[in-house]
Amino acid sequence: MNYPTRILPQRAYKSIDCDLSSHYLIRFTNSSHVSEITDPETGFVKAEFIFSPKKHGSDLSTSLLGIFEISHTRIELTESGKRIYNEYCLPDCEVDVPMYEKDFQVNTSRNFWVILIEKIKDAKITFNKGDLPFEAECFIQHTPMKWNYWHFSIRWKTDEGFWHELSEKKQEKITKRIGHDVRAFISKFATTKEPNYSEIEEEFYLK
Amino acid sequence: MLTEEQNTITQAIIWHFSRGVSNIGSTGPEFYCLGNSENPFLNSNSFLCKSAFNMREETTELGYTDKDYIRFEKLFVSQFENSEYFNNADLNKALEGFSNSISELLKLNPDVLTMELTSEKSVYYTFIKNDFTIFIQHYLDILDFDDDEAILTVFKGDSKLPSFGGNLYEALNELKDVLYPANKVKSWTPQYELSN
Repeated sequence: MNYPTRILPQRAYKSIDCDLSSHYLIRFTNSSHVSEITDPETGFVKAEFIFSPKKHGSDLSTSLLGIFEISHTRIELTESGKRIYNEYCLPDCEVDVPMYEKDFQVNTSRNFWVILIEKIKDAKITFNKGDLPFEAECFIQHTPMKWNYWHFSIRWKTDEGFWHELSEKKQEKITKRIGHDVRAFISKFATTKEPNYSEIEEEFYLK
Repeated sequence: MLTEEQNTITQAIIWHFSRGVSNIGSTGPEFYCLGNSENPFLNSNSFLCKSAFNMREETTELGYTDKDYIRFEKLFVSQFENSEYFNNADLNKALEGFSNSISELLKLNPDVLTMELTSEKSVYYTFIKNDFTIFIQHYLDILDFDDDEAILTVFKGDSKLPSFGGNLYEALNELKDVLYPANKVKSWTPQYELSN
């Protein structure tokens, strides 16, 4: 199986910083069964299929749906593939095309959820516990990786700085405060249904 | 005509006494009628009067039945026993914590209430009533948590309202304030009993 080269960083690519409100972010789930991923009564994606707050809440990996297609969520890097490709890079970084089975495999036991960027960008979380009000604001950042130029991160800025950049001890404290909030926020607006989506205009990602 | 809030509170009082939660005999007759429409002896049909018969079969005036409670309890036990996150945890202790939150949430007559257990050793509820969607994470008082802590994430329509964290009963009171802002009644005392 050939790797979809359109999702790799290219010399002609630049960083994406345009308004993406009408586009979707997509993330894989570790189950292919929609009935397992979503709650049948509410239709919401179940918490456990959004992410684990302790592991991913501060810096959640997603991809911009468009040139990165739904089927690409099944790409799973092998251990050796992770060593080479699972790192951030510049958008115009040149990388070798990953090799099937050596660098990646196809995981058919995956499904996905998507979220409309408009629903989450600039979202603010206000949290009250005792006399300690706390705020965090959502940022959607283009964070290309060697295996996926279309990689985006959902990050949260607090009064003390970006959540994922804080010391481990501070991260732990904040995780307990807003980890649930962040997950609930995504759960409210995410869906496992394929949306109507389009690729972004070339001018926004080509130099 | 009672408001919805007044109605809920009075219904809660009925529920409180009808299940023998309080064993204060002097107040019992005010809430029990030892008869029903088919057997009217001693049935005064007074305000707030509730038949003592068929108590476990019928829907409580709170809008849920013991069956609802039992259904959630079974779901909890099933998820607990099949969850990798609760290895070595004491089911009875976890069940006691779960009972504290589920019984109070059911009293609030949700339109929809669902639950799942999470890797943080918590119960994650989705509570929908009118145009409120409320996600509640109740950390069970087992293993590494000091107290029954809960976090509320509240949406009215698609608008997010401030979230709240505290012990379970503070969080439940906050939930009641959200649902009934006009009255802000810190209502009935917490119950720890399990439905038998």
